[in-house]
Amino acid sequence: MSDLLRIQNLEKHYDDFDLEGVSLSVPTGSVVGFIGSNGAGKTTTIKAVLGLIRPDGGSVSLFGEEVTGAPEKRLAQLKQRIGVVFDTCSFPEELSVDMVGKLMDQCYKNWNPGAFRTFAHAFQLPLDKTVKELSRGMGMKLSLACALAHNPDLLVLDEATAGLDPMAREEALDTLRLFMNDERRGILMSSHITSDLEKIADYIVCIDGGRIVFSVEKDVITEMAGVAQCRAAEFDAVADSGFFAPGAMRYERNTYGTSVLVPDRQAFAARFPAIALDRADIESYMSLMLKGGAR
Amino acid sequence: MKTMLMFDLLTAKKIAMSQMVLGVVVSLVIAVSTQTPMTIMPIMALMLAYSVGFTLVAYDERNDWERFRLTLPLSRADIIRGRYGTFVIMTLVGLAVGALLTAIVYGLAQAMPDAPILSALSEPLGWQVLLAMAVASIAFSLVLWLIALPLVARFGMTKAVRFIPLAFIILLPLGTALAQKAGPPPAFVVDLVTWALTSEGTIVLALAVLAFVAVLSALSCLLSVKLYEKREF
Repeated sequence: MSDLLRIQNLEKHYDDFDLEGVSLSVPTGSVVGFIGSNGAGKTTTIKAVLGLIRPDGGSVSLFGEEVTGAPEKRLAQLKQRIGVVFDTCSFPEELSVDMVGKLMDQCYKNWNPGAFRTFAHAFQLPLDKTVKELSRGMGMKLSLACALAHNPDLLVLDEATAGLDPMAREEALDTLRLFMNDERRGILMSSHITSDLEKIADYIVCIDGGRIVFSVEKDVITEMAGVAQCRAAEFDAVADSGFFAPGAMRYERNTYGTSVLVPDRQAFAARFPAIALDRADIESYMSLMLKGGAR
Repeated sequence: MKTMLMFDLLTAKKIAMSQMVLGVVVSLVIAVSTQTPMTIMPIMALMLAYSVGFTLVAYDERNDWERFRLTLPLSRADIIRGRYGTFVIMTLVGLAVGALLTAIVYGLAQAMPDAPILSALSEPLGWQVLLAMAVASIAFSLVLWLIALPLVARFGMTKAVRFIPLAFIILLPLGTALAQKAGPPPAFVVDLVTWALTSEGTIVLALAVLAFVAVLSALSCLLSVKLYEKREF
């Protein structure tokens, strides 16, 4: 399985923020969820991928071709194979939906006007409405329609579902699932809405303070991991049991006791059958990994 | 470049039409009040190039359009060249509309010499005056952008507006000081002006000014491309 996107040891230094040694990849046929708190470095990483900023170190490869330091023209050619959606609809406000479609037709060699109209119809986007007349959700749908209608191999979505209501988000996820029916494609999807990623992602990469904290298959979180709810005595028993390697136990104290992140739910349940154990989700996993104490 | 031109021209279509209507009204009022249709062409060219230009540059920063545009398959050089192309086209369209309006006003003044407002505009304009006005319109409508666009390419519109007046504030006293120091015009300047008033002189001078503006535009465009390629978003 080749990588549509591969980032290796990416570095970018600002006065108040450093992106350090960021590595991640989007293999063909997979959706990579890119998570992290505000200002963690998600958008900076995406900007480096798209050539909006120049990295200070490391490399970015698109479709097997290194683009760090590549001529602008080459990067522009590779962008023919990428669809991008940001958290706002960025098209000039004066343009109508139909006009946006016509302009994209000028941009992309593979632009499919029929597919654009189909998406516009499915998303209930009136072709004669201008961008400024669209609601935030409708604007996002227009961006998504544009990103999909040129048949890209790689979608880069930066908080693309942030402005959508739950039904519209579900609709957008269905569209992305359809897009992924072709296994030669892939998606890098940065999002705060971890429940969306649970529905669609194959891998989860978490960044914090400009560094990758974890990069795992989603099933490792949702199928294998768990969160044990321990009382004080139970917590000490677990900590002293040797079940976790020293320093590997992540925990977070709360009103009712202590939550402990368990990498293997079944093994933990077999060892500590009396301790309440829930399935982990991406949010609890991320919270314990980022904010939890280590023991 | 063609794609960027299309982006700009389609985005500017509405504002260009409204500015054209406004330009027609303003240039007619000024023509009547100054009793000459000579100013119609420059007003139309300047209004179109400046108002459309400022609108497009301002749109770049709305909703992160400038940043998003860079995710499309356009090189930064394509974007800058397209933007320069838009300004040239807007200037020429303004000039063409101005020329047409001048011809209509003059034609009406000839047809109705007794009409109170039109009578003052029936004075014939020589081809040399018209050519000089056309060339001056092109030069003046482009000169602001030739200075402003490299700054916009480097800093974006919001920051560039802090520097653009500064550039003019520095250039203006410098020009004034040079003019004051120069004293009476030297003989070759007097000769040049006299020669420029001849038919051959007008044509050669007009071509020379156009060539100079073209070279300046190319240099400004090259500089803008270099600056834009270095900019981070």
